[in-house]
Amino acid sequence: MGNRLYNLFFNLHTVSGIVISVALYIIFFAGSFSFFRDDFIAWERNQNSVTADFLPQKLDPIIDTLNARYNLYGRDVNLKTYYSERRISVSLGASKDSLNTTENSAGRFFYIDPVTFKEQTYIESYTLGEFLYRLHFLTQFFYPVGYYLSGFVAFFFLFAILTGVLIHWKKIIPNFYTFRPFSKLKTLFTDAHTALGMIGLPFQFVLAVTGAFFMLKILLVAPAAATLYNGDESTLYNDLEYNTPYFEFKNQRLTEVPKVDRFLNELQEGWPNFNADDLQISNYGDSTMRLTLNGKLNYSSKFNAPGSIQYKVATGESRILKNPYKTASYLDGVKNIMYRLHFGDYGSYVLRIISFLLGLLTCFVIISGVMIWLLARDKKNNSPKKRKFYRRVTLIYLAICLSMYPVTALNFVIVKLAYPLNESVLYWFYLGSWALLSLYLILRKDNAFCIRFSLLWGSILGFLIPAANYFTTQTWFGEQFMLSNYQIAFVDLFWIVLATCTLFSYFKIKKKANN
Amino acid sequence: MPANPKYLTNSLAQRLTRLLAGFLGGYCISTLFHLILATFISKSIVLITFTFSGFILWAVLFIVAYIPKKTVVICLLYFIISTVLASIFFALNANLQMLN
Repeated sequence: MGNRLYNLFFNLHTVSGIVISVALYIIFFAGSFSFFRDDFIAWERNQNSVTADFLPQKLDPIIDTLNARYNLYGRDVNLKTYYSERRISVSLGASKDSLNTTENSAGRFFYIDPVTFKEQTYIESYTLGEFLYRLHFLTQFFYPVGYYLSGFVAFFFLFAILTGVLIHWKKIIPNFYTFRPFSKLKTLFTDAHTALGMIGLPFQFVLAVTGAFFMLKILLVAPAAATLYNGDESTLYNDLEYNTPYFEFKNQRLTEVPKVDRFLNELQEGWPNFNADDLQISNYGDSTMRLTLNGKLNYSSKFNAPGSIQYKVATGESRILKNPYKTASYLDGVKNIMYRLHFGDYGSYVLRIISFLLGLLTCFVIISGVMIWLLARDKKNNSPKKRKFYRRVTLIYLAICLSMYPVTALNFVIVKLAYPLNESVLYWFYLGSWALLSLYLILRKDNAFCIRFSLLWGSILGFLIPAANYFTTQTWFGEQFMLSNYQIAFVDLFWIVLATCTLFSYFKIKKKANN
Repeated sequence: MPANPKYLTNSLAQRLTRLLAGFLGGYCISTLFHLILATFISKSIVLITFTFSGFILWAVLFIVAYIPKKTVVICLLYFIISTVLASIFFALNANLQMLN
């Protein structure tokens, strides 16, 4: 690579990096915490999940309750668990029975608790865990603009990763072993940026590609649908197996609707290690009624193992749509791997903690990139006006990024003490406290103060999080652990460890500043 | 050490053209390439591959757009490639529809 190309790629890396830096930091910071989304939610609700992320063994009590409340006859019913939460999401199709014209016959979507049978809507059951998860694809910023924005940030991140590799290619190995912490500040940041960027490279590359896919898939689907499928999107989704089964309703009532659990138990015996996470009932109570159970094997027994079986209820016949013990199709493999790699949820807490650390490492790579950008420009040969501009931009970037840590910790304390908060209150409180703190840090006009403030107050509030939990539930993490409420115990421990680490760095930095 | 400005262009118009050539041209070529493959090989297999290879190819073409010294060259090159791919794709599909 000649000098021209080197400088050109260098410039592309700098410009693309600096343009997306703040949004990328927000995405990675919130995203790192989202690896523990389900644990945070369990902790906030003080409600550990019962059956991880699959459906409970007994579904009949739920279906009978729903039937009593909404008269399921002639409806399509879907029970699904997307996350490791106790409650189950319920989607009821409108009744196909034309005689049922009551208000109750419309379709609806809500959540039901399998223990108390309490129903909740999405908005009233909003949590900080959900907020952070949504923040990592910028839902809160002018929905749906934020979705596409985050998708393009992921795409330009991929661009920055590739140009970064290109400019470091020649010295990629010697640079990896170079770390000069006692040299001047810019050398330190440069060494850290290259070495840590290298360590995080595979992780970042995978997250950039999958992230771009999640948010920008419309850019790929639209041209294919318009040309290959002549605008017929439903055939496309059929081909990609994103469809839900549909059966014609005949309006012939079954004299007795068989129990769902009978089929579940039968399946449990035939398919060991199989966990159903999606039950689709078509035409409930009709002679055409079908049960479709979707799920997968434990990740420890097989990684790509989607299973699907369909029962014709009237006759009890079963049809295997996907056998989880056979080699999964290429289509299922890609779909599964895209999600698993992004969510890092197939290797228990170990993998999620590693992913969390790699996420924070990426946050540091982003911040060090911004610092290099500033230190390379804050030099005597630049005009004072320009230097002031560079410093101001960096200050604003740092203030917005670094204030996220104390603000997140503060909101954990608040949601615990003021549980339950609904969606809009949480929005106002999180985004409001974030804006105020960023403003305060900008007005202090001191980069080093930003870092110290963020570490100190993040740690103090971080220690208050398990305290707030003890204050409201009177149980500390040891007891929760004994009760096998691992999710709840984990969050308390997680914050104690994280706050200890950041407090340690704070004292290190302070000592250095005093010297 | 910011990049040496001697190798970079100062013209805003030039920069914008190159950005658009890389962004739009990269997208068109990457998409058309996959669509042509999809007409030959199974649609579902190519389209699901497209979900990751599409973005990678797009990003690579985006970077490649900066390599030629003259902006005009890359604009023309990407334009010609897109047009050729588009004609192949639509010719193929017209034939397939007639066969059907």
